[in-house]
Amino acid sequence: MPTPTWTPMANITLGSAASSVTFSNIPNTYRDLILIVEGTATGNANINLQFNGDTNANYSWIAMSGDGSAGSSFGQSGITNAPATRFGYFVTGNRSNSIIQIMDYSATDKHKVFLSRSNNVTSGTDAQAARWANTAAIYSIRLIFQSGSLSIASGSTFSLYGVL
Amino acid sequence: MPFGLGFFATAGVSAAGGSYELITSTILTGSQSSVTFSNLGDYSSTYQHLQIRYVARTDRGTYADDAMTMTFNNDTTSGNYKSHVLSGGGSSGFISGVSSDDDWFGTTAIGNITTNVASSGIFGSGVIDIFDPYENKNTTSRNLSGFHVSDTAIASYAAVRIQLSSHLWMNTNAVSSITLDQGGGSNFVQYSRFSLYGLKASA
Repeated sequence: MPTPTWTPMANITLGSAASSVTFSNIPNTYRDLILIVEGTATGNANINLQFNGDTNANYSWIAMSGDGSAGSSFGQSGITNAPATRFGYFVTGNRSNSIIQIMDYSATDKHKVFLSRSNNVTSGTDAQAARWANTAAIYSIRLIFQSGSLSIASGSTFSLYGVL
Repeated sequence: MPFGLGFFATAGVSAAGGSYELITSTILTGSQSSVTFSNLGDYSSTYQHLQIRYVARTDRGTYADDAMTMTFNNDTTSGNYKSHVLSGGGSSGFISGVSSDDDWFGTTAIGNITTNVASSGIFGSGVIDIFDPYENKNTTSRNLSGFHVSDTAIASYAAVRIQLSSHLWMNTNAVSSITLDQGGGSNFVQYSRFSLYGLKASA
């Protein structure tokens, strides 16, 4: 019997600029999480993710990007957070969006993987994959903007959904 | 700025109208050569589009990656599938857009996943959108997929991958089954997960 899913878990509109946003106490009720971010920033700000408060070098990522004139690919391993944006970063003025799919977040038998698509009309567009080298279920997600040195602006929105 | 999840997260409130539904999930308890979603014609009057979400790994040796393939209605006729792919290889700078058809022995390659060459726990994942599977037209689909294996001595391009692919099944029959298989290995391995969802045309 099909089961309705894609359940709203949190929907936040910032009332003031913030250098980070954290979702905590995430239940292990679902299979995937989908995080949709839309807004502007106080500068050119990438969104970087950390899970369960892990600030150690346990993250790796790879991106494929277009900046309007060329395509490129880049990646890193063994870093302290995983970017969800590269050229599709958040900027002042024009709006950006990022859809982040966190797969099997509640499983305890595999590392955690997320896939993201990010876009900004002035800077570019990205497809990215990242891995958190930990088999623990995810119970918190921290989004850090340009490693905390910049802020995402008031009016920006964060929508978290659970998918069975 | 912390936000603790409150009522909605625990109450299980679903999207308005239940327009996006989980049909079935398969989580492997052991190795399995392929995964098939069948009897999909049962949903032809319910859903407009389908989506498959997966996290998977194969038992291929030697290489850190393996291709995932997708076949509709057990149609393995060579020439019935076309695809294009954008593929990023990370620091190696490898990026390609396959600009011609890519019919792989009567199936379509939809994205790469990891293998048992990688350390335990490292899986690849993807989200496949299948459009209008029940309409009287060729079936189109797309996939966003990727993985990162950072602890292997295998050639770097095979150890990381991000891909956007599009696919075409040149058959106007309604989709009755979808089979996912792997190109290089023999099996998907334990803990691999494949979930099928339906999207309604209206609530």
